[in-house]
Amino acid sequence: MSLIFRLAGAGNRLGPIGCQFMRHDKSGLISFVRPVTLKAQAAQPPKEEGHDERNMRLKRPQSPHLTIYAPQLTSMLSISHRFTGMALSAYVIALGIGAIVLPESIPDYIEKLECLEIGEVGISIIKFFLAFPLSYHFWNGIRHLLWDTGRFLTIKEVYITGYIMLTLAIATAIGLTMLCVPPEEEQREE
Amino acid sequence: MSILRKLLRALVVSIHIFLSYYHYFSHLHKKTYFQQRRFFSVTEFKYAQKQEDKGTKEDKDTKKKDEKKKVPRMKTFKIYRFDPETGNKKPKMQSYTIDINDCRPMILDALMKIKTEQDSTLSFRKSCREGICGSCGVNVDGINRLACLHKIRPRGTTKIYPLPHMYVIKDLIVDMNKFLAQHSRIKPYPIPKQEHCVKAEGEEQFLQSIKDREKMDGLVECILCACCSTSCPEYWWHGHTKAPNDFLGPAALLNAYRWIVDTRDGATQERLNDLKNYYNVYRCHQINNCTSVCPKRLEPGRAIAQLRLHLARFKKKPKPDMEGKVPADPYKACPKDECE
Repeated sequence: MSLIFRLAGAGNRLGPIGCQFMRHDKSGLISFVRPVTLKAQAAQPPKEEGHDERNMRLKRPQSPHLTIYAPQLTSMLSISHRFTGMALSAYVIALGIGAIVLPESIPDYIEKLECLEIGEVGISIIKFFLAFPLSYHFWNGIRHLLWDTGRFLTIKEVYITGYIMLTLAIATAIGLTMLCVPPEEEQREE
Repeated sequence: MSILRKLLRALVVSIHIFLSYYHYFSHLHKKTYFQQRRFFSVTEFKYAQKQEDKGTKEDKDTKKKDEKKKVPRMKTFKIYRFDPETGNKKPKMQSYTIDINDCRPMILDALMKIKTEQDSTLSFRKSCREGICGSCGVNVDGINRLACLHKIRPRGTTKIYPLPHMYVIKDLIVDMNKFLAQHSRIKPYPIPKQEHCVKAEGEEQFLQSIKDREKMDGLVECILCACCSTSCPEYWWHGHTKAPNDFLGPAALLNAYRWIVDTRDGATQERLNDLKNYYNVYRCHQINNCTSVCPKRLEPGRAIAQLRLHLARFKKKPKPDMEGKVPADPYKACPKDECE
């Protein structure tokens, strides 16, 4: 820019050619020179933008999480605790509403189930699936209560208590499936 | 007489010459003698010879190993790629095959090898390469690791993702702003009691017994690599919600507990009050992914459990062994002349 100014100033000294070069209306360099006024402006405070908004504006993708994270005992026991809790509440709600809504009482349905002749194995599988959420949620709940006292929280202890809880839960569930009220007692009650 | 004189002269000259060279010769003589007397006994000499033989054998062994090493062992890495500058803004998995016999043992070494030899556009964070800076946290085969501390698995393909559920800036680099903001929200600095703030900063130092200091072992080692927070499903779902109603994540909570345990800190109750809400602490469901993943083998899960006990007033901060302050002496260790 300063070069242009200097050339413009030296136009007379450069002789006729220089003058032409600088002062030509259309193609001359002088046409690039234009007045500019500088004005002071108050600094604008930076926009307050949330973490999510900013990243979404920049169109950054979210890194994969649930789909790539390796299943470990810690997370698997936790999620199954939640699932068994959901199953338990579903059982309670379903059986409770069923008892109100259904035309016949629930023991009748149980008798009908027995009449279906699925065999001992089939019935015990159904019984296991009813019993397991209860036993699992019970024993894992005790594990969580122990954790709440601030104990058994090193990773080794977490794994040991996890395996103990799993064996206890499965054993209890099997015990509950084996359990049956002997028919003699029923008769006595009647 | 003349013959005798001549003989005498010859003798004197020869003695003179001998004496003049004596020092030099004697030195040589001594040196050879010393060399011969290197071993004081025969057994010692034999032992030394054996050692020498062993040395040559070892050389041969290493040479053999080197020859073995020259056989390339190829290993494939599948790496998450995202480039914000290309038009197609979809992340993809790109595979690279390198010879791990020609590479140092850690994942970070493999990443650097790929970057130097194959693809210079591959980007990742790194600094200290020895697990103290905490910048190279990535997800290797589904588990968060520090790339510099995790060895390359020799078989199969290894998948490398950025830390889970974070916004990706480029390739393996994620936006840590939220994570660090959460850390700053727990006030990670000592807040002294009001009555202690008498003199200017740096004039006095707080006393702490060794026993009290040991209570903070397993808490102060945190390097903020974000491996624990990003391994936590609760942090995935609740960590990114707006400021006061977000789960702070295991790293920030571990540090919060660190300042509650510290006997020099005077703002324990204020710190606890800040955490008393529905989200900050209580979204933790003790999944314990944080404890299992921590590259420094810390226990954020335990710290959070302790924090809850403090919040519920089942536990109280015990009285410190030592209280008060002593005048600071910054020039204690240096000699007086240098200080002035």
